Amino acid sequence: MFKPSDKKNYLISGIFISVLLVVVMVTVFMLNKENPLFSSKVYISTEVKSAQNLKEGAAVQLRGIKVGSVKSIDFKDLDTLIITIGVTEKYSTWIKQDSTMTFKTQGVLGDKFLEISGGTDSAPGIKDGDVLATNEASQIDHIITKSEDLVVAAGSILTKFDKLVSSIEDRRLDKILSNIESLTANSNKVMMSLNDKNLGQSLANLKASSESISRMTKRIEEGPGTLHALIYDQGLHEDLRSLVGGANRNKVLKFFIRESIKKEDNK
Amino acid sequence: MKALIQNTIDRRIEKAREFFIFMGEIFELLYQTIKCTFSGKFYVSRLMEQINQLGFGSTSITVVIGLTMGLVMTLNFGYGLTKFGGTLYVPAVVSLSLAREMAPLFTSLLVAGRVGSGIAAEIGAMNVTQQVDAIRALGTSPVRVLVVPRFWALVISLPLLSALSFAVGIFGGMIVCMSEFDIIPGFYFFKVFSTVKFYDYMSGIVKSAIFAGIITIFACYKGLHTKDGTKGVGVSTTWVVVTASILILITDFFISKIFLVIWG
Repeated sequence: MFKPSDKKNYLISGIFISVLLVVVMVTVFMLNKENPLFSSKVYISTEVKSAQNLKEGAAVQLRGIKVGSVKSIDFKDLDTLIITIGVTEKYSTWIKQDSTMTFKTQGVLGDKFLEISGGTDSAPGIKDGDVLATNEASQIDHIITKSEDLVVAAGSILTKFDKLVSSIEDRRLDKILSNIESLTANSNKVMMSLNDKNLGQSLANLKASSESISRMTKRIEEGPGTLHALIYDQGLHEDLRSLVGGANRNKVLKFFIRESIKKEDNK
Repeated sequence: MKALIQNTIDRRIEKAREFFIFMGEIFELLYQTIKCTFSGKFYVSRLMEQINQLGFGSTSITVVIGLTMGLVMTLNFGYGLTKFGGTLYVPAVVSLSLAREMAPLFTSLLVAGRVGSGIAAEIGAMNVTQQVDAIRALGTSPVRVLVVPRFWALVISLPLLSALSFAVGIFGGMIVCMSEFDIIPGFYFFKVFSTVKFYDYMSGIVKSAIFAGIITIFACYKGLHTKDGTKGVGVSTTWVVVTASILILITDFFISKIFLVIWG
């Protein structure tokens, strides 16, 4: 078939091609582990109003496990899109016909994927051509809806705060701040002037005054004495009333009082 | 002055004419190569000889470049991504770069240097010593005898060498990931094989085959058009290495763009 001189070339070329083809085949076999090339699939679909940026090839998960991928997204009519999903056959028994799909996001870039959830044990597993229902309210929409009230409240608070801040004129604010600064400085001075010795003396004086006042009030309360009689003696109270009332009615006394006032005014 | 301007314009027109003739000859050589492949005698023994020389002979530099790429890229991406807490993304980034771009591109550039110069020198030397004329005189097409085996030898070998470069690069990346970033081989290979898709890998393989065609056609063309004795052989060799390298780099962009449009 070939000349003996070519034998070496054939041998080396054969080894070279065979070994590297094995490398290629092994690599191809190992690649794409998440989407095996030679695995049988069950194709199901779902109808939605918006694809929500879901891409062909996006993952389809069941309880956190990737069970398939989006095969195609096409228009059914003007209002409806039909998403066809290829599910690895071995998972088809675990996806029930009454399961629903939800749009979800993953990763820092927010890639969309479909999560299959729900379904009852008694329901049969999916088969080719089944159409599952989809819950179209995405997570982010849900969050936005829930946080709408919070955003409104926060906006209202911020508006009020803004009004409050703008109502304080710059000059007034400066004055207030200057007063606070002055007050702080004075307080500081007072605190500095009160050294430990002075403070002790002052407290001793204060204590002595307090004791003296206490003794006086005790004496007034217990009597005898003019102040005690003036406060507690009902008879003295009555005498004083009659004296003042008598003076008011006494014309002679009135005359002397008026004369005394006139003399004072003439001076 | 007018004569000088006229002379300059004439020279430019002549250059443009020469360029278009050159392009025409390149496409004619490609056409003849494909035509000779599927009609008449096919020299299988010469093909095997060329696979041995061009393909198997380039294995050592392919292993070196593949291993170096894997080691260096993993190290640099690793330290770059560590700053952002993205060490776990290193296997994915390295493997994807190797599969789509680095392995086919760098292997092709090295092979263009080694093989392109070799082909141009060999055929150029045959041309200046009238061996090519002797082949014609014997009634055989020089394209059939000289170009076709080299063309197919490299079109078969270069994709295989790129695959080898990728595999070795992945191995190099694993060594760095294990030693520098504490990533265990199991996790590394899981990330590599779940990130690189079939079409990523095939785009690199197809790219290499296109680069192989560019290298051999330009090298054979220049070899068959070598003049001025041994000095001309040296000029042809240099021209082939430079032209093939530039064409590979330019073509790479457009092929990548086409693959991205087709496969996403």
